[in-house]
Amino acid sequence: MEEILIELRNISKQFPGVLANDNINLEIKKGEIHAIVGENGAGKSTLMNILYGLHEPTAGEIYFKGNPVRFTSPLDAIKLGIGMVHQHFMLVPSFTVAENIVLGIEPKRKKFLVDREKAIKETKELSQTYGLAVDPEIKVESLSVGIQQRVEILKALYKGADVLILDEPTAVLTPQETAELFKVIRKLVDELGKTIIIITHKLQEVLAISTRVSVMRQGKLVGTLDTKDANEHLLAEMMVGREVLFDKLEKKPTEKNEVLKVNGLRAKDNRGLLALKDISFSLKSGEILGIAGIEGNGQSELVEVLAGLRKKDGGEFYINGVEASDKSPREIRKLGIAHVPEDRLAMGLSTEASIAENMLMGSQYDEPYRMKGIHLNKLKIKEMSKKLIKEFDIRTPSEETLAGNLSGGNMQKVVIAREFSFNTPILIISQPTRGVDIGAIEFIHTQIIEKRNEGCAILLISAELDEIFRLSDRIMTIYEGRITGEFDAGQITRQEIGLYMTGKNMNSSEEGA
Amino acid sequence: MKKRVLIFLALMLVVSTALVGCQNSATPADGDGVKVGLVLAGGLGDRSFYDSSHEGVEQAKKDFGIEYKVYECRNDSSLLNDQLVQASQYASIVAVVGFEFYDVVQEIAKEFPDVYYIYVDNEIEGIDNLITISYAENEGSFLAGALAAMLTTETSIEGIDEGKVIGMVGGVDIPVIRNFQAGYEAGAKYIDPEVEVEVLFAGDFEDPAKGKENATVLYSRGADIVFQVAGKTGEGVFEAAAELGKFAIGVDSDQRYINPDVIVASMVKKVGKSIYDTIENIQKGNVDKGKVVYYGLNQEGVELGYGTDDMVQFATEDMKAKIEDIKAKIISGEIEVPKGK
Amino acid sequence: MKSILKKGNLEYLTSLFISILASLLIGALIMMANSRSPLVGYGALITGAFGSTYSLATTFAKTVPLVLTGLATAISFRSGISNIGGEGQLYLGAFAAAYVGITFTNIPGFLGIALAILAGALVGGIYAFFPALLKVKYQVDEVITTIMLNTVATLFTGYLVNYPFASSQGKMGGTEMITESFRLSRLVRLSTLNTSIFFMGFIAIVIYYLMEKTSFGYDSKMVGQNSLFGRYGGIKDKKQMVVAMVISGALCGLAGVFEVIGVHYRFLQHISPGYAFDGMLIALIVKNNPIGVILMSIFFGALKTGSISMENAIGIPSELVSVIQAIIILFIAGETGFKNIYKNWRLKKLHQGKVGEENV
Repeated sequence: MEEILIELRNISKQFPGVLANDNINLEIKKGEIHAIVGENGAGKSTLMNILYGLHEPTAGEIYFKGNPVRFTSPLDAIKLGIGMVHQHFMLVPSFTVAENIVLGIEPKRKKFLVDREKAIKETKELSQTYGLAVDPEIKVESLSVGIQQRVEILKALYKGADVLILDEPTAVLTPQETAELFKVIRKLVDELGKTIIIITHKLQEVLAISTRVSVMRQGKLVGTLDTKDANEHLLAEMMVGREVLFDKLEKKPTEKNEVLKVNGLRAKDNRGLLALKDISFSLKSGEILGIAGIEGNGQSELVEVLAGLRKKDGGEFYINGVEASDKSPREIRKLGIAHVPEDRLAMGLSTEASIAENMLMGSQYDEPYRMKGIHLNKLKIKEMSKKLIKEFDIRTPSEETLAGNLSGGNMQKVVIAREFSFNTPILIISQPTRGVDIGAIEFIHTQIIEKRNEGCAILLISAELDEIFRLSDRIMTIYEGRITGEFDAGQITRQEIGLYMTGKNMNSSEEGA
Repeated sequence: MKKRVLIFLALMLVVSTALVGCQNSATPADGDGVKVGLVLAGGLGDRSFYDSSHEGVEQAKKDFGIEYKVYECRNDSSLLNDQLVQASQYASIVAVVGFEFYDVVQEIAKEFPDVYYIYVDNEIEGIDNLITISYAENEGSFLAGALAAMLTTETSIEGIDEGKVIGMVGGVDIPVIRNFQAGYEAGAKYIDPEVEVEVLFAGDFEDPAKGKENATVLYSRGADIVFQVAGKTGEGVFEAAAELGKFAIGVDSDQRYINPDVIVASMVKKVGKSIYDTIENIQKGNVDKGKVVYYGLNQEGVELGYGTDDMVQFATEDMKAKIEDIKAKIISGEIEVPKGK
Repeated sequence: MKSILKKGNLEYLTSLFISILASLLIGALIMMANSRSPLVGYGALITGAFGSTYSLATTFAKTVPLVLTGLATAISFRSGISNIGGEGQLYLGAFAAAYVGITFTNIPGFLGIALAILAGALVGGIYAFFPALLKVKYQVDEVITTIMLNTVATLFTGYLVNYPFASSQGKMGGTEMITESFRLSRLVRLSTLNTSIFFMGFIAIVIYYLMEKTSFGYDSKMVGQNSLFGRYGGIKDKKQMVVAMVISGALCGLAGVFEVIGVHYRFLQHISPGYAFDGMLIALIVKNNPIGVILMSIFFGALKTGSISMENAIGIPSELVSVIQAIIILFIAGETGFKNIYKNWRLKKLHQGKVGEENV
């Protein structure tokens, strides 16, 4: 029946200290959408990098259309029509779309000169053929993440890819963009006969898009099954290796007093454009206020202003009645806001520092970790780290391990452990489970609810609507730097909130006001 | 990224120093003659000052059967003391070349009272086993200036214009070099008070590229002839002269052989000869202990060298006669040559 | 010491050790290519560096400026700001010390020494402060400014010692000698080793403590690794960089001070043969570890001292040592070096065994 396009036989890949792929056998059929799922660190990306020629397997063979092949570099894979879209895009931001797409195999004029006209023309044709609308002459840096991904896909197709590997394609996308991407994927498969391999850890997406699904766990392939035979529960169990209980999180009634008051806050983004336009809300103890919105609508700026990392442009905010705008990050922490940043690698930790050093951040000026205003008490720091490692179930050989050697989930737990341990009355938590595996998500959600139940006021920002709905007591929507709606949880459905997130409600509400 | 750049810079640095002096310097010594150590602040291969001193001990080896070793500091101030100590431990006569040794040689000479020190190019008195040799660079340079002033209007030579500008590239702005400068300027004015003397300092004795740069500037300002007083840096002056079709005057050794087509003459400072003489005197036992020995025109310590007869001579016989005349007047005291400050 | 022997460090130490060994091996090959025995050559090098009290003293005399400039580099690099201007700071610091030594001639010796040290550190620190300020205020690349300020400092001091402060004795580019009572005394006959090594030891301990045991050192490290993380955690990252740069400049200034009051007893126009750059190499090799700086400085000092003996004794050019140093840096600073080769080799062995088992 269906032709087997690619076959991986007994593939193993050893990295220093880790057996990333352990004797993997996998078949990819022509014209299928094959999902590969697994928790972070299960070896999905390694396997795909082997298939794309980025890594050479330590053992095992790859067969393409029945013939053994050996990839020493991605060029070998590209020659056979295998293309890959990485999780972190490999685009030159200052180049135009067309320039990025033809990069490396530019159409030439007089042998040496890049034929710009032709590049633009070819890009246009390409985007028409595949129904992926892009403006060839716009610079990549000014594109949204979703469109950038589209450019990446086009780039692979331009190089003649028949098999497309998509590494966590939805990790950076909004629900709308995800839906859009899935349309594109279906079209590529149904109408144009391409084969898609999609790596993900989001089970709903797997069920929605794939024809077959392979589950990986700890470097091994646990099994491959037809998607129609799978369900979320089964896949989760295969991924984690035990039964996963999506417990109903228990929210206790709490006393609610206003602890954070934000009044007409305005702020500019890095480009100097007004990103926050008149934001006002109040946050009460013992509640989780979720902010739903498509990324880039001012959430980051809002968090940064509240954390003292960005100057406000107008308005003010009060922590327990004390004016806190224009205070330094340290003063704000003292006043009562701890903050889990959206990007743990960029802001939340130093990958080159040990776990203990990462956990010290923010307390390095305080007793008992610092004595006599200068000397760091290594013993106390070690004690504290050990305690947090245990409390937050951080899987690490020791507190001396470099944070960069941890998995995404464990890194995130380091950040959360540190920020939660400040015991501040207010917590700002941004994208708490981005790039984190299922087990850790469960754990982190439980911790957040526990904090809430203890009476902490939590401002939750997440691109994952599921997360917002699961945790929040109240939900606000943000669009283009304004709050477009505020609801008690349970008052609103996902579909409705989607409208507020894209500002579609605006006209009617403004008319009403 | 920045780190990469730094590493690259660091490597460039190390490799460039490593490449500078890769010739094998020390001459293995055998036999049982008197041992001489030659300690240089710089390194051999400058075809100038240090090489000249090397020729002196080499000649002494041939004539008196001495043995010798060369100790190069390669312009590393941290090695001055070490090399001098090592030489003192090896030899009974130590020739020390370079103004940089001024303090060190006094200190070490006191520690090795049985060793004779011949210190070239400075003036120290009162240490019994230390003989210093001082050259009247200004006198020799006076002759060089006079010759340059005569040549700069000699339009019959291709490449020389009517302008009365001559130049000088000094190594580093230090007293010794300023002594050259003073004589050079005075000599030129002596011939023709209208001659302009442009002087630039390269800031380095070891960098031909800087010499070339500075010489090019001087030539572009109208100088036809540039006097180089810059050791190895001066090789760049010769290069610039050759490229631009201009002329140069060499220094320390008779450098005409390097490029007889552009080097019209050299102000020879007979470092080698003076070391040779002093070694001879020490062996004969007739030295003035703790004294400064002056080498001027009178003592044939400095002179103007015209190369060998097979080279094209830019200086005419008339000019040479005029130079001889001036020389006699300097020796007799009729002309008083100013000293550099 | 225990913390140095952590696993990551152990890996690094192994690769450092292999790198040094490999470069010495290449050095041996070069000697053999020139038909000299490497045994005799390295023998002469070791004797020259450690063979007698004098040679030992000379080796340690060489380490004084290297340790100071090495630590200077380490503290700035670790804070994420690159001080390439050590040479200029050293020259100005040295000149400041000389100025004190020829001006305040009638104050007691210990006071004069303290004043010279203070002046040198201050001048070096101030000279580093400006590029740091330009960096944090206007994002002017400090690598470029500090490199250029080197030239400014060497030319400026060159002018000073040839004109306003030129020595009246002898022909030389130098100031007058500093007052006798300000001179640090020599420790070993013939060698320039002087009591500045005790000052250096004290300074090294202070800097080590500062970098490794204090919140300041912690802040520096964090800012250097991820300045955004530092700012988020409440560190004033810009201030941290500026302070680190000033300390770095002060250390380079001190290196200059000790050259004047300990070694030459006057400022010389070419007082440093590039100590700051050697210090930079050292810091790069040991990845800004203060203890590593000290050990590597001794190693470099020994190489330099030994190479001179090697050259004088058997005619192997001392430049060979530069080649050896360059090779070490190539291996180490490239950060791949032997570490990965070794790892891959080990993994392959490991895996070959494993595959074999599976096949059975």
